[in-house]
Amino acid sequence: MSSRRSSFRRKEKPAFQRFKDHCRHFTAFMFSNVGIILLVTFYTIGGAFIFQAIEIFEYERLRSEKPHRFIERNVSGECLTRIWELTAENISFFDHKAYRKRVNDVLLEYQRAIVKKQLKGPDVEQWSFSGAFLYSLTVITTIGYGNITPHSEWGKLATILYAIIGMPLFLLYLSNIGDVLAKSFKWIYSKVCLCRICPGVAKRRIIRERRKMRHLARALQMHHMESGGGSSSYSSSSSTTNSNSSSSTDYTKSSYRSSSIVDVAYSGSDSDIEREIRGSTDEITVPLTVCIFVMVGYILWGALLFGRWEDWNYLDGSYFCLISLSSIGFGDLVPGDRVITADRDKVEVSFILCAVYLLLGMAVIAMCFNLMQEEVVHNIRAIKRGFKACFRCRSS
Amino acid sequence: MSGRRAQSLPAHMVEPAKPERGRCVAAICFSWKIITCIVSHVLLVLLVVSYCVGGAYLFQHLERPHELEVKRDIQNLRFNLTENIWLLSDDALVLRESDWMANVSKHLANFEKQILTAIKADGWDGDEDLRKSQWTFAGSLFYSIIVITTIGYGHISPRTDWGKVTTIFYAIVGIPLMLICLSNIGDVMATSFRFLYWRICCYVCTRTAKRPRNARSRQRSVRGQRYARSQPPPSFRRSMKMTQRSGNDSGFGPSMGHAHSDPELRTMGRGVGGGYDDREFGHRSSGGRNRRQQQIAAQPRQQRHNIYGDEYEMQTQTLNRGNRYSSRQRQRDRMRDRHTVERERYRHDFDAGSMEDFSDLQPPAKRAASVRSVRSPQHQESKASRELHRLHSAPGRVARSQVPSSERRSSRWQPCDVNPHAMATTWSSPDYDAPPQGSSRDHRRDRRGRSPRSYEDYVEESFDEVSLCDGGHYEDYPPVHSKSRSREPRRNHRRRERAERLPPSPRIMSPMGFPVQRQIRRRPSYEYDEDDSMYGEDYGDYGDLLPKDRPVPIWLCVFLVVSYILGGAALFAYWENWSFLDSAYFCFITLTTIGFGDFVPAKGVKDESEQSIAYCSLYLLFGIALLAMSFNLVQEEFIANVKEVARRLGILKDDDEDDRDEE
Repeated sequence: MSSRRSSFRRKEKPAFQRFKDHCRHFTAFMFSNVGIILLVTFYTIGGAFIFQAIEIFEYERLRSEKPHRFIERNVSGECLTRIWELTAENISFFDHKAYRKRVNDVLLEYQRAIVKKQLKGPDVEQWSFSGAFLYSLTVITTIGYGNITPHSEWGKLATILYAIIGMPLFLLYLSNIGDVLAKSFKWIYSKVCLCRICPGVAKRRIIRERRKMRHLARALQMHHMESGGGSSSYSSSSSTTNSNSSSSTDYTKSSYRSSSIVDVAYSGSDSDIEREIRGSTDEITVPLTVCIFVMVGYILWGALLFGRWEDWNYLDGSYFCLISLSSIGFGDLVPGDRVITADRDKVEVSFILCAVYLLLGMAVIAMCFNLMQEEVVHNIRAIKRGFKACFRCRSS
Repeated sequence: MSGRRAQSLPAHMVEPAKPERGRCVAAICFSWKIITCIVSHVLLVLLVVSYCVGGAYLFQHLERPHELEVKRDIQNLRFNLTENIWLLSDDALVLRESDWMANVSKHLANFEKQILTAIKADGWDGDEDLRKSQWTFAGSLFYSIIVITTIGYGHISPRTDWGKVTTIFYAIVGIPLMLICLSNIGDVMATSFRFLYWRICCYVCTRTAKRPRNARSRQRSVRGQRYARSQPPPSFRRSMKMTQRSGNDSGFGPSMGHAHSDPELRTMGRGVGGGYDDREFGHRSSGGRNRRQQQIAAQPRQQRHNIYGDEYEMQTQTLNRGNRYSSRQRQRDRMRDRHTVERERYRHDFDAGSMEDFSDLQPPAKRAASVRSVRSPQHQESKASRELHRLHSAPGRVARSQVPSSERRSSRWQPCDVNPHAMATTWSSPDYDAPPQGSSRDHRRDRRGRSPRSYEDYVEESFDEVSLCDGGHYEDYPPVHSKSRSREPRRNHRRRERAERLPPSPRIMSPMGFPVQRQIRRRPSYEYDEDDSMYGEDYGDYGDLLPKDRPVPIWLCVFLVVSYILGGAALFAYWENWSFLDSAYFCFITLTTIGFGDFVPAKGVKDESEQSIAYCSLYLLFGIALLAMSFNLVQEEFIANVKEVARRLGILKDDDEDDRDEE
């Protein structure tokens, strides 16, 4: 974004022609396939640094301004001494019920303190670099786990601005990478699954398709013979003049046309087939099942990965992956949760792992949607065609 | 001649002129359309609502027992601890402080850990009251909404295994449903907003713009430019931009200016339009006309290339015609306002074609009769033949040049235009690319209350009427159309190349909310034969006179969204006692569907949790629909701007990427 703007500014000075060209190339590169990955990555890293700096700075500032807020109360120690006092007090007359009630009250207070501390949100320690990285990633992907959230006002403002710029950027990334992935996937699919690598198989397949099509065309031709007659009679009743000639031309044209189609279907020559085999892969639609299989496979793979890494069970892992990749992002399960995994290095690594998984997974999902939509559109068009044909023959 | 004139009425008056349809069938079609409309809008909303309610019951049923159990567990935990402490104190013979302390602190640490686990893993909200629950009906409803809008606050989340599994499947079904519904609502809202904007806010300027437009007959290019300069900016800002741009980079002359509201569609139009023309002509030619008509149909192929070179001549023609048929013209022009230059081009083509053609043909009156007689069967037949053509070309994807339907046609083309063949080899599936264009046009017309089959009718009508117009006085116009031939094919070729690069189908870019809406926006709302009109950016045609092409300015949409966020911020600050920044942050995070969940309504004020949940749900549902609407309204112009910038920067090849930038 910024690079584009800068090059734009420079364009106004014709003296810097070469520099302008460099900028242009740079921008073009940045928005190309490789560049967009770099752009997103750097944007995320930059966001991580910014958020980390803001949060830590604000935390320090608040702490220096209002120190009383940040005094760590030793809750458990307090609780302990109070219970001890109670016990020491009551040691002479052991009233079971009263004692228990009092202790219970103390414990309840303690429990509330714990809950409050827990629900108040994580402290500033969470803003490690990898945590902030994951945070910026969840912002621009609109996942929003909420395991780390900005607490300072500047952090919130920065989040809003960051999201406004970052989300379109990420969408750009998604469409770009999804496109590339879809193309390559299609290519692979056409080469491997449709056996275009091996020309013999493909040829046989196409010949088979041709045969089917020929049957179809012939059936249609027959059909048009009938419907043509029907329609012409219909039109003769509606239009007043010259009905004879119109019906005859109609009829002949129809038959002529259909037969010519059949001709080509018969004469499907080798060169034609060759061309189709070697033709571009654009017209191939990958079946829905393959796309769904890829998505499910990716989610299950993620479940396996995170299950091993975070000691989640399989259900939790797939739940996490689906919630993340669908950008719902509850945040009830987040990799590197401090309560469960205490190891600091592992936390850092798992943040990065999660980020990479998300970046890749979003692109894969986008790719699958890409392909699926193509397929669905194709199917719908075919259905529509069939339906129209039905409708027409009924109406005529 | 008069008979033909009767048949060449403007499109919206054509219903009586198509008697072969039958009144009953028309009524059925009409009611079908209405039903579809109702189904698509009302039923879809109802479906989503019932889906949410069902989800609410389901999740409440699944999660509530677990939640109560967790609460009970916490209580038991504490009682156990108390009991332990009591036992510890009671059993000890001598109560020594240090020992006791050590023991109890161990217990306490254990207790703390258990509580933390309960919070983290079991989703305990720190409340022990068994009467209060997160998974009330309202809470579950909120949860369902949060899931299917992909906001995902995470303040409540399923903790049981069954709850998780259900959530997974619920999301898989619900998110697309919600997207469809939202895009539908956004569509409707965009239409009505545009209507409001252009009817009410800018009534005066539209009005003044419209009157001279009607009086002057057809020459949109001149008109567009003139108004671009003379009219107040809001109404014609876009047209000016478009005309300038198309003048700059396409070289098609300003007549492309109003062509499509969406640049993508416009490039489609430029590219695919050619191919589609071929097909249309082809069908017509092989459909049922005699040789003469085939000539007419084939001629425009040749003429089209130099159409744009002869603006002046066109102008004279149109002025001439405008004088003569001004009353009819006026009606027709209203229709045309909404139509694209594609059709304009058709008309020009036909002008030119019929013009040259007639010079060596029979008198127009006789021809008129013959044409009219062939007309009605030919509708059906041309459609049928196209059907066959499609069926044929789709499965095998035979290269176009081999399609036999064009045999006679192509032999005609070859001397004058090499492009169809050049295109044919590379762009081997015409059916794959062309239909969306056609169907979107179909659909555009359809929305005005005409039947889906009327595209050809329409083209033919224009054909007829134009050839009629020109047929009478074709001698006035010398055939000038050879001078720019060398220049135009190249452009045509470029157009096609560009069209080739367009994706064969629209794409969903992400599983996320907004970008998808553009693509699947239309899918649910139309009947079976409009289903693949997802390219159609033509949502604005609302009634007969509404200016559909003219977008609402970007700043207005941005202003709308920002004010919505700020208004929501004020409301939430009032309801939830948050600071203003916090509630603005909350609104933003919610509407962008990030949904951190650090601020969630109904957490601070526990008493009115249902009420504030209701407020929040309404706010976010309406807000997301509003966002969808403004994306809907803004995207075209924004994409156009971004493309413009990209083009100026010389990174043209990144067009498609750049324009997806802000979708």
